[in-house]
Amino acid sequence: MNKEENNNKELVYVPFIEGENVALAPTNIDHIHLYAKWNNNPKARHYARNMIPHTKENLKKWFEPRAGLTEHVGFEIWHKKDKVPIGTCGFGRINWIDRNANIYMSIGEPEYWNKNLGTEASRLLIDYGFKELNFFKIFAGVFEPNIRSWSVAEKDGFVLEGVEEKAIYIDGEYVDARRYGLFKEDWLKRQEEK
Amino acid sequence: MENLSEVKNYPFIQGKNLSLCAVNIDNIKLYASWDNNPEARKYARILFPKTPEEYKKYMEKSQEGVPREIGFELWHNEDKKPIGFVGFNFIHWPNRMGNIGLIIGEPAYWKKNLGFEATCLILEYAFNELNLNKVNADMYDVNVASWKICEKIGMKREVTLEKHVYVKGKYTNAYEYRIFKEEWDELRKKFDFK
Repeated sequence: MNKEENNNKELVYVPFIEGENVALAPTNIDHIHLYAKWNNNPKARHYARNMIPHTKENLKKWFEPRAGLTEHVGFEIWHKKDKVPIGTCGFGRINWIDRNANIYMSIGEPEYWNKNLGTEASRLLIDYGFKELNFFKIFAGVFEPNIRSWSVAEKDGFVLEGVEEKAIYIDGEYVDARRYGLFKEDWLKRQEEK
Repeated sequence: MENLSEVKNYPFIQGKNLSLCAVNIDNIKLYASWDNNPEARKYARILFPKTPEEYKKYMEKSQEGVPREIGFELWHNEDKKPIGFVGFNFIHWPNRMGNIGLIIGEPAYWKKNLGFEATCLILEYAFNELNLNKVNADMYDVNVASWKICEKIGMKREVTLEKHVYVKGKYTNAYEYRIFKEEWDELRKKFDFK
């Protein structure tokens, strides 16, 4: 990442959850130029299903305080060795009463794809969801052609609960959406077995 | 049929003698009168005068995300009027814990077992609808009626905070009662409150 892309702002690394190669860090209003870059990046947005351009001003709204407990928890994914943020992940649509949420993940810098970093980040995030936020179940929705994402979900033990046919319009055609679910007890069991 | 141009309450949970209703901005003067009532405020330990505007502001606050506090107007079914409040003055969602608040603002309705019924209704709501795991209630030693309700239900006095609150020139103890979901599942069978 060159200096220009950085908007000449120094990137601040504040780890919240540390893994081996990646760490999850709080989102930072000074980094919205990066979020805008990732959310608009043609390759990355294709998989994250961003059909509408994201402006920095839109993204600023994420940072506005709310009265109730948040329904969204987002992180930056940091590459520890390279000391750069490479994407975002988190839980959306948190339902505190039913105790479930939808997991999402996007590595916005394509040069960091295919290095198992998404898998590592997903495991840190799932562990946080079950052991700190006390979720009962985590959902993942992935569209059919996004093989990389659903194979990560399956490696993590997500169970395919259904397929919504032709639910998503992408690149001029309708594709199926896979719905996955993972229960806390199954996640803990898998961890014990390892 | 009820006159639809004169809806006076918004029942949400129906009990035998009481209903829990959504709070109503038309009643803010009444709400303020309860919290200022010398008898009622003595037990609720309200030390500063309240104005109707405070309730108005509270109700006008935009509610995004799951609320951290939930309040109901306690409606007397037979007399068709609001007599107090019940609800949670704090909910911790990841811990699945809620703290009960209860006030019968009209002293004419004291000693009629209505506080007991209101507490049963709010426990039922907490465990069957909000999916909480534990409910706490705290009160001061002078508030005998409140801790008698907890005793009658079978809640456990988990904590005694000694000389914790200054009442009429003397430091007195405070208590924290608690009940778990599995305890309520057993205890509720004994009571007739619906």
